[in-house]
Amino acid sequence: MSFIDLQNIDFRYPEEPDEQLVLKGISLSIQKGEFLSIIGANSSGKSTLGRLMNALYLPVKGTVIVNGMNTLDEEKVFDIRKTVGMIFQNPDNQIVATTVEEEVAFGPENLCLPNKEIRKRVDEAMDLTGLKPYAQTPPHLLSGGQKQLLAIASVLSMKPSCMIFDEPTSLLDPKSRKMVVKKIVELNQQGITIVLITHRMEEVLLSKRVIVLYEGQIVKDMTPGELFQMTEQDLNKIKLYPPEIIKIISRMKQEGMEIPPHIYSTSDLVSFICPSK
Amino acid sequence: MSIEIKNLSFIYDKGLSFEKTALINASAEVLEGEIVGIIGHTGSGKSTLIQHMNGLIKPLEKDKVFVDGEDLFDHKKEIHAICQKVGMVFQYPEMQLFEETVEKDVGFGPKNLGLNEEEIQQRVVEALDMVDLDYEKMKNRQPFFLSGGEKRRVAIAGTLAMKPKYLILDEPTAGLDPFTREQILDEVMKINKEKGITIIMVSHDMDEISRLSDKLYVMHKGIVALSGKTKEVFAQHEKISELGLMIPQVTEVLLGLSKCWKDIDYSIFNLDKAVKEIIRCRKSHGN
Repeated sequence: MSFIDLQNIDFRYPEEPDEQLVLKGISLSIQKGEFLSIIGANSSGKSTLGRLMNALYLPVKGTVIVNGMNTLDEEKVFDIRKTVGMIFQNPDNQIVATTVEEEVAFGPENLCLPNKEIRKRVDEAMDLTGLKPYAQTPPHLLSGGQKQLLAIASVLSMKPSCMIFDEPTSLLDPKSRKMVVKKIVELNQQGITIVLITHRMEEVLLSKRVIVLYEGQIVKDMTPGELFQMTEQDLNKIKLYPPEIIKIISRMKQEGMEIPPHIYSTSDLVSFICPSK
Repeated sequence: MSIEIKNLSFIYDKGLSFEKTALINASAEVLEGEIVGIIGHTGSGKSTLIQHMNGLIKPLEKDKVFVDGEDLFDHKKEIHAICQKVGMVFQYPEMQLFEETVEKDVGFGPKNLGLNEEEIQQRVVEALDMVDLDYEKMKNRQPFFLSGGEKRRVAIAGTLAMKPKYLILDEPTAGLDPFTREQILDEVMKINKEKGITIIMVSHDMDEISRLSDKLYVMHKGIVALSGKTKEVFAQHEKISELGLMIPQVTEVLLGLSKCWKDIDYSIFNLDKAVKEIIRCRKSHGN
């Protein structure tokens, strides 16, 4: 059985009962340990889909099963949220404590764990995210990237088996972005199931499978490699905008140049055309 | 006519134990009609520099900032009149939306100028039009229920309604999806080319800055590390890498290929032209 299973989901916001459906007929299975990206333009429904996976939203039709638990089952909601952690775009919105250490301890403290266990989990989470040196630092003195790592650490201390990242890098500068992306890959290597919601096509390359949402429906379920083979025009039709390098490759192909399918970075392209001796 | 900053230094909380140097001897000149890009890491002094340009930060001691030849902090003059020439759109400007309707929000500035109703409305219509929003459709909508891209545009329109001659945009596309980003960039171009408003734009995205800007300032630890025409600046790719910054992807490709083809022109930022250049070189070198 899949780890997360969405069966024929419809969704609209409860506060807007007369509006159109935000998600229509979504079926999706995610296996344990998988690294899945969800990509789509703004308001394509990708954040909503993420939130259905840890019972922040409940479907109006269909079922979401997380590790055998139905999100509609009220008694299971806490267990589901412990299983599936969520990281949002803006870390400032989820940081509450006055020091890094306390922030990371907030979750386990609320689980009423023994002190020893809390200490252990906090240390582990800070080690994993490289925040140990900042244990006593107030979060507002951290850089944007470090704050996002802190948000990750405070979810990690809950020992989730799955983490959903909702555009975790879109507010970060390029340097911090690299730092956070690297961490996400490491977490997956340690066995945590990852769902990465993004609108940056290059980030999709980190995962093994990508889902494209367009106007509330899944229009593609493929490997990142396959996605990068699509022409710029076809991508634009589903409101995806490829990175510059893909635009360049796509134009070169149109001009009749033959470029093998596995090339999606500037260095790949350069060494293909101009191999170093 | 220009904004002129000469040898400007700035220290936050000067004299206190946690004082922080933000600018060291920075000079910049923004000429009328230009699009000027400012790039650099977080904390490199970009924001401090642009906030000097419309008087949000008062220069320390003898340093001066001139807008159209007038000293921003010449006490004999009314600072407001000069500052109004320079409109500022902060990072995530949608966080500053506060009114009940789009019309009121965009009209807030003009209203405070004491303009009459008719004139305010006209300015709101024009400002919304510049960011491709329809006044009739938008005027009664609540800013908080707009999409991210719409909010960003309404916020930019709020500054445009003040009819600035110079418009400063601090990372105008940050956090937007690529589709909306392209639209906003097109609008910025139009505001510059059609309305003649001078643009000063801070960005982390080398691809967009290379395409838009005529001139570029690269900030590093409070110093203007590089400046000049955009293509001349990106041609100094080694220096840029030393500063830990990226170069546009198209430049990366063209520069990489220059190892094989010495004559390739790597100052091209337009993708179609770049591909033509690659094909030209390939033919003339026969590989």
